[in-house]
Order: sequence, then structure tokens, then C-alpha cells
Amino acid sequence: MQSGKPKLIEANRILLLGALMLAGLAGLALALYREQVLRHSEYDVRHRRQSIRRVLQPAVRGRIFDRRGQVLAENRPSYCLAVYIEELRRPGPWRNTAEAVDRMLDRLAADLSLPREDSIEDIERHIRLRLPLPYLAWRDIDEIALNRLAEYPGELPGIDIYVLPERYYPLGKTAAHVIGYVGRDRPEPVPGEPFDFYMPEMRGRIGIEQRYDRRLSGIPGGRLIRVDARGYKHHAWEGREAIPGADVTLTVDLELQQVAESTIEGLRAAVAVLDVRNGDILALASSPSYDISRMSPAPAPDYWRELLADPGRPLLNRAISGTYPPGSTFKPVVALAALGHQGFDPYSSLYECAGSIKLGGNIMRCWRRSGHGPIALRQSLAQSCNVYYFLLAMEMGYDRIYQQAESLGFGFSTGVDLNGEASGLLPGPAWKRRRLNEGWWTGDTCNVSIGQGALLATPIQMAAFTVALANGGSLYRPRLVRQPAATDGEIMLSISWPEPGLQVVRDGMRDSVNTSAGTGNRARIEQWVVAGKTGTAQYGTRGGVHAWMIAYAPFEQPRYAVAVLVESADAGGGQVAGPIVKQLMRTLVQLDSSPGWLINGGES
Amino acid sequence: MTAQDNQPRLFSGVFVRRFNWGLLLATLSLCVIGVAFVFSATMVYGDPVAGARRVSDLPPHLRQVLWIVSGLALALVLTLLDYHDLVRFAWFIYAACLGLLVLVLLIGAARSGARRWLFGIQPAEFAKLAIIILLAHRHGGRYAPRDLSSYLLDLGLILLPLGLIVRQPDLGTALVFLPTSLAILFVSRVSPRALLATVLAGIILAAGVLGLLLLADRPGLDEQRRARIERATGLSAYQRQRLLVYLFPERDPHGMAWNKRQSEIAVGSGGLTGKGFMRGNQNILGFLPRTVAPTDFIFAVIAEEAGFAGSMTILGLLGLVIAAITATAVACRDGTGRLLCVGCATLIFMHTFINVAMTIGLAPITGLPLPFLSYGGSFMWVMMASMGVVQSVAVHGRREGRSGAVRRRGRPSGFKRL
Repeated sequence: MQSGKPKLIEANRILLLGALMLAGLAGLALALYREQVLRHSEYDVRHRRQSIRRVLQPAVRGRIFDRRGQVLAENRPSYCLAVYIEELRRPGPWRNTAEAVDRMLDRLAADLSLPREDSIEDIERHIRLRLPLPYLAWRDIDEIALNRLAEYPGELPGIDIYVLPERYYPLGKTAAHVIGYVGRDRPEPVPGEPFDFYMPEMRGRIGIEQRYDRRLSGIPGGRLIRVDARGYKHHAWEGREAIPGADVTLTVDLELQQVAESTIEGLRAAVAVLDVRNGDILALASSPSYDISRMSPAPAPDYWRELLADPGRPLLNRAISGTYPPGSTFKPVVALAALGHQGFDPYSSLYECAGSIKLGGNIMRCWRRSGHGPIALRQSLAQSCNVYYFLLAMEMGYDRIYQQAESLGFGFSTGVDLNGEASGLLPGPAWKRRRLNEGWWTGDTCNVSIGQGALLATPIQMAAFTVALANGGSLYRPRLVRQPAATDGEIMLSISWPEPGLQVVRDGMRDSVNTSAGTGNRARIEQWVVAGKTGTAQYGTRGGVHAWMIAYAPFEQPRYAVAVLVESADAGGGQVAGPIVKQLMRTLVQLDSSPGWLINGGES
Repeated sequence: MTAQDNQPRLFSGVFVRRFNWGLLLATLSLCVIGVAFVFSATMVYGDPVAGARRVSDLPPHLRQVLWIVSGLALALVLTLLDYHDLVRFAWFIYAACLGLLVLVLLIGAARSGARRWLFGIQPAEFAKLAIIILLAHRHGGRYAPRDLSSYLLDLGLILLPLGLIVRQPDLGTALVFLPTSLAILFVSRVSPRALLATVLAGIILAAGVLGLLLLADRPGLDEQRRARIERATGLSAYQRQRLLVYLFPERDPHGMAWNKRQSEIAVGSGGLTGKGFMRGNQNILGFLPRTVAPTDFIFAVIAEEAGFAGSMTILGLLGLVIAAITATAVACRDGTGRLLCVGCATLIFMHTFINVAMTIGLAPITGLPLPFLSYGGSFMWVMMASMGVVQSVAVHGRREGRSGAVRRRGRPSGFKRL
């Protein structure tokens, strides 16, 4: 039939083509036989050899030093047990794999006698968010468990030991409020970032660790490493080196800090020592303190509960977050306010102190019931006469005091490089109208003039004010870390006072320490002339007092300013805070003449 | 007698007897295996999406099922339709595909450097079927022209879409398109000498371009000469780059060379019986990149998890498909039907051969899907449509058909039996 129809497509060519195609497939079959059967073992070896692990290289966190290079915070290696979940993948939904990993960890926990620290929810979260990364089942395992793991009978697929740097605070409670501590951070994936698993693991929670977290933490890196079925690492072929965090050098001097802390040991108190020339914080102590070496990577639960239950509130940094009425330490502010007031002469203007004044129905008292008699500015500061300030404040009006206090930083945070600083409170008519819906009375003016009433200040504010008083009007931002280029301080506000008047205020403060009638004479030392002002601030209604003292030295060329606060003291500022200032000043005298002092800080 | 009497109705005795059941069985087996291994290759992505509302929310294996079912419906329509009626629209289909190919170059969506997608479909896939239908139409009749000008027209008709496909660039599809067309010409009564001359010319041209490419690639060439030589190849920088990577895969260590090596390891480590369904580490651990494992490298997944036995099953089923189509071609009493079958068989063969050879490192990584197995909608529909055409030939092809004037005189009565 076909041959009779010559124009029909020939069947034999079709058959030829079909045969060729089947032959082609047969050729493929031969090639597959060679690859899959003859060379199987070779490929199998290659297959076993390769298994990629993404190894995170944590960035080593920068260390924290004091101004002379003593270590305040550093790192130590911590051994972790890591599970590569992808290598343990089970068929079906991920839940199966999570359950398998969970079971395996339970077995390991029993074998290594390590209690489980995680749950299946953690495993599932890890699968969801960070699957390619090792899952750290145990962190910081001890040597015994490490040895047991090394001698573990049988294979442990997908398991490895990871070394992570762990934060370490060698000094425990010293400078705890300044340094702060780090805590483990649960990283969130960053959409669009291909290395979203390169997230820092530790975050500064508070203190310098928190404020300078970015500088300290660095950038973690990672590598892809090929491992074989037994976990031997072959070679890394791709990755990003970790960039270690930068070190941070504080302006704080460890020795001075330790002395400051020892002077207020057992009290609820705060100390700030500042450099008069640039606002550097040489010591910043708050008592009671807490042990930051027990806070990382997470506070021990019972220790944390203990801290929270402690009535002394050790977590509170009183030096920057505690607000107190400044009491008589505020009087220099009022005195400075009066300097520009017309008709006020710092030398000759006298007020008569009869021990108290009557204001409406109230009697406002001086601390000396018998009164100081006629008294001038200088003596009023040295002897801390209240009546003088009532009369002075009433004469010049509250506005001048308010403006002076405002331009000395009262009512504003100082900008110290720690989070959680309080701004205190500088009350005024507007504030009182707003808060209490009442007018501003003369009584309010009198109260504020002796640092009472609604007025509140932090110890760091008082220290910053003392710095401005000592250096002639530059209000520096108190700083714990110096920017690399900045040797001069950062001046927040500048103010100038008439020179003779300023000298009278300073003389008054010198007399306060250096005369027998002065309230601050317990702070007197032989080597330097110290100028200071005490304060005994009443609070509450039960007659409790806070003891204050601010001081600077040496008188002729001021270099150091000190503010001391003792909460709920059993005596006045001169008696309680005076000796503390004395001890600090003695230490400063020693340090000031010791070789190498302030070298790191620069000698401006 | 009316045309109705000649049309074998669905499940009528004639239909059942003539239908190529072996072909259907083989293709359905391949589809089922394909869905299973697409599932295996994509379940690594995570758990199936619950409460999916749109097609794009479905997990890949279910989408594949959707494409298979819709493809089968298309195949059924084409089976019931007498292919003579289809072939009458050959020019129209061809022109439409050309239009789509132009359109895809103008407004198509680019994925990984190539502009291939138009509203979610790849016109290049349909162009393969269009050229088969057109060439079958031109050469199937008893009075098909045999002169040189007609042959040159054939070449032009092939080269026009081919050029557009290369422009995308989709070298893999081009690599299938040309042999499929030439196979139809080979079986039809085109002069073997003309065909041989064409093939030789093509080889010389390809060798020339390749030579220029290698020349321009030589290190230490001054930039002006390099630029001149590169212009002479007539290829864009991207195309030159792709070609060079085909030749030297190690130049793309994280892309093609990686895929090649991992796919070889996957196949080789599968061994005689494989590692078990969903237990292929190469697949699960993502050594086989997850973007290509269910598509172009589905064979590697199967070979790893089902071993040599599995890959032989796949090759056997595909061989069965080709043999079944060849049998239909030979049984057909009509030139057009025979050429349609030859085209479809060659299309399937070329895809299979290049894909499997690529998987075991014998052919450059070109990105060609494996018929009935690879994940993807356009190609699945094209495959199902060609199966429909072949079944139509099986059912309707026991008598001669004519295009043009001969047809209009009325159909000769169909053979009731061979």
C-alpha cells in the first residue's frame, strides 16, 4: 500500500529517527550507569565530605578601661553546645525536625547531666528565624560537661562546640552604675539584609555598656565551612571577618572611684568628682551598689529578686537619677543671682538675722535660733544663715534666682553620657500654676532661696554647678567618655559674674571650710585650701534630712569639684558629708602629685 | 455521509480502539512521579501554606497538579479536535507566537537576567509547538512544494522565531527548537543534500562565532581589537558571557559550576537504589539550589533519592513515550499527522536528552525542563498540548487529509480499520 503511494511521508525515516532517539536514551542510561553505579562510591565520599555549616564569628566586644588603662570590663571564652538543625532535617513539616532535635537534646541532657535550658518553642523559633545558623542549646558549659562530650560514645551528627566571648567584669561592685552590664539580645531578622544572621548577640543594658553599645559591640562576621559527616571541618570558602568592637576609655579614675565608694559604703549616698577644667567625671559613685559580674548574660534570678526587694534600691544610680532638695548648697546660686542686682553690694550689704522672720502667719527660721546678727554675704555663706537669704531673695525677687538657677543647669539634665538621668525640678510661678493651680507666694521664694520647697537637684547637677562656680562660669557637660578629638570639654552654658562679687562668694565658701565658725570645717585639709558649701536638706514631714556638701580645690587654681549627698542622714551636711569631702580631697592631693596622673586625660 | 459520522466520538468503540493508551499511561506515570519529587524538592521551603486562597499561595506541588489537570483538559480538547482542523490554523498560530515573542522582548518580565515571561507564560515554549504545526502543514500534503525557494522559505520560517528566542536570551530553547525543526524536514521529502548543506553551514557559522568569542576572550588583547572582535560576533555582552560560562563553567563558581558539581554529586551519590524519598541530602540541605531543584534539576533530585533504578524508570517511561509516538506516526496514513508526531517526539527527546546530560555534567547548563516532570506551567501545557495533538493523530489519522483545494472537495471516507 505504502509503496504504491510514493508521495506519502516515508515510514522508514520515521523509524530511523525513532531508533536514533531511543539509542540516545540508551546512551544516557549507560552514562547514568557509570555515574550512579560504577562511580557511586567516589561520589558518595564527595557527598559525605560536604556539608556546609554557617559559622558565626561573634565580634569581640570592646573593653572598658579607666582613665589610666585599668580594665573595668573585658571578655572571657564561653563554651557552647551548638546544633546544626538543617543537618538533622526530618521529612515532613518542620515540627517533626523540631521534635527530633528536642528528643536528642533531652538524651544529651541526661548523658551530660546538664539541665535543659531551652524548650521546643525555642527550637521552632530558631527554625523559623535563623535556620542556617547553629542553635546554641547550652551556653557556657563547664569543663566536666565539655570532657563528657569529648568522650561521648557514638556519633553526634550535627553537633559542635562553639566558643563565644562572654562579658566579664573583674571588679564586681566597683563603678557598677557607671559601667552597667550587657544582656543577651534576641535578634530580629532584618528584611533585605542578606547577612541578617550577623546580628550582635549581646546588647548593653545600662550604663556605659548601653550608651556606647554601638562602639563597643563591633560587627559580627561569619564563614561557610564545609564539614564531613563526622564533623571534621574542611575548609572555609566564603565569609566575612568579624570586626571587633572598639575599646572605651573612661574619664573615671579607678583608684579615686574606689575611695569614693569606700567613703559612702553602707550609706544611701552618691559622690561625683569632676574636673573643673573640662567637666571630666573622675569618680561617680552611688551606694548601695550591685555586683555587675552577676548580671551577664542574664541576672541570676534569685540575685535579681534580691536586688529588686532591697529597700536601699541598689539598681538606682543616685548620682544621676536621684533627685533631692539641695538645701543650703543652693545658697551660692542665690548669692550669684544677687551680684547683678541693683543696689546690692557684696561687701557692705547687711541683713539682720534674728534667728527667724515672720512671713504672714508663718515663722521662717534660721538654723541658729539665737540668730547671726547683722551679717554680710561672705559670712552668710560661711555660716549658712537662712534669714540672710530670705531677706535677700525677697528684696531682689524670685525672677533673678530662677534665671540664675536655670542658666546654671537646674531643672535640666546635664547631658552626662549615661541613660536614665533625671532633670530635677526648678519650680517657678508657671510650674506652680500648672501643677498646683496656685499662685507663687513669697514663702515659695524664701523656701527656694535656701534650697527647699519644690526645688530638686541631682548630685551630678550640683557637681556641674560647682565646676561652673570654680572655673568662673563655664557649665560643662559632665562626661564619662572623651571623644577622641575633644580634649577641651563641651561647654553647655556660659555665664559671667562681676569679678569682685564672685570673689566674695568664693571667699565665703572658703571660710565655710577654713574657719572654725564655718559649717564645712570638717572638710578642711592641710595641703590645699578647699572651698565648699554644706547643705542639710529637709524632706518629708517627719524631719528627715539629706546631707549635702559641694566643694572645690585648690582654691587659687581650682582643678577638682566634688558633690556629696547622703540620703536620710542622721546629722547635718557638715557633720556627715564634710568628712567624706575631706577624704576625697586627701586622695585627690595624693593623686594630683602622683606621676602619670591625668596623662590619659590630657593636661589641658 | 456527513463529517459527523467520521468523527470518532469520545469513548466510542473506534475512539477507544485507536486511542494511544500506552502513551497516556506513560505520560500520566511521569506526571505523578513529577508531582511527588516536586513535593520532595520544595517541602524544604517549609510547611504547606494553610488556607491558601489564590493559586500563587498554593505549595508548588499542588500548583503542579493544577497545571497537569488543566493541561490534560487541553489535551482532551485537542484529541477530540481533528488535527486537520488544527493544522488549517497553522499560519495563524505561527503568526500569533511570533507576535508574542516580539512582545516578550518589548514588555516581558525578566527573571535572572533573561526576558522570557509574558503574563506568567513563556511564549518560547508555545513557539516550539507552532513551528511543528506549521512545518507539518507545509510538508504533510502529497503535493508539498520541493523546490529551493520553498526550502529557503522553510529556513526563514524557522530562523525568524529562533532569532527572537536567542534574543531573550534562551539558548536552551533555541537548542531544542532547531533540531526539532530539522527532524521534521529530514522526515519530509526535503532534499537530503540541501539539509546536509544547511547543517554544515550552521556548524561552520556556530564554529565561527565560537572562534571569535574565544579569540576575544584571550587574555592580553588590546581593548580596541577586543571590542572589534566582540562586535563581529553579533552577540550582546550578556550573551557572550553566558556562552563563555557554558564553555567554562568554573568561571561562575557560585552559579553554574556550583549547580553542575552539586547535581553530579546528587546523581552519583544516589547509587543503585537511592537514599529514599525525601531523604536526599543534596536536595534537603540545599546544595542543589532550591530555585532550580524542582525545575531544571528535578532529575538530579529523582536520581539522588531513587537511585539508578529511579533514573532508569524515568528514562524508560520517556523512551516509552517516544516509542508510542513513533508507533502512532507510522500507523498514521497521512503525512501531516506523521510529521506532527515526529515533531512532538523529537521535542520530547531533545528536552530529555539535554536535561539529563546537563544533570550529569555532559552538556552545558542551559536551563531546559524535563518533560512531564519539571515544575512549571507553560512547559507542562505545551507538553500536554503536544500529547493531545499526537492522540488526535492516533484517533483521526487513519485516513488521508489534504490541505487546501483537496480538502474542500470533501473528505474521503475514513478507514474503519487498518
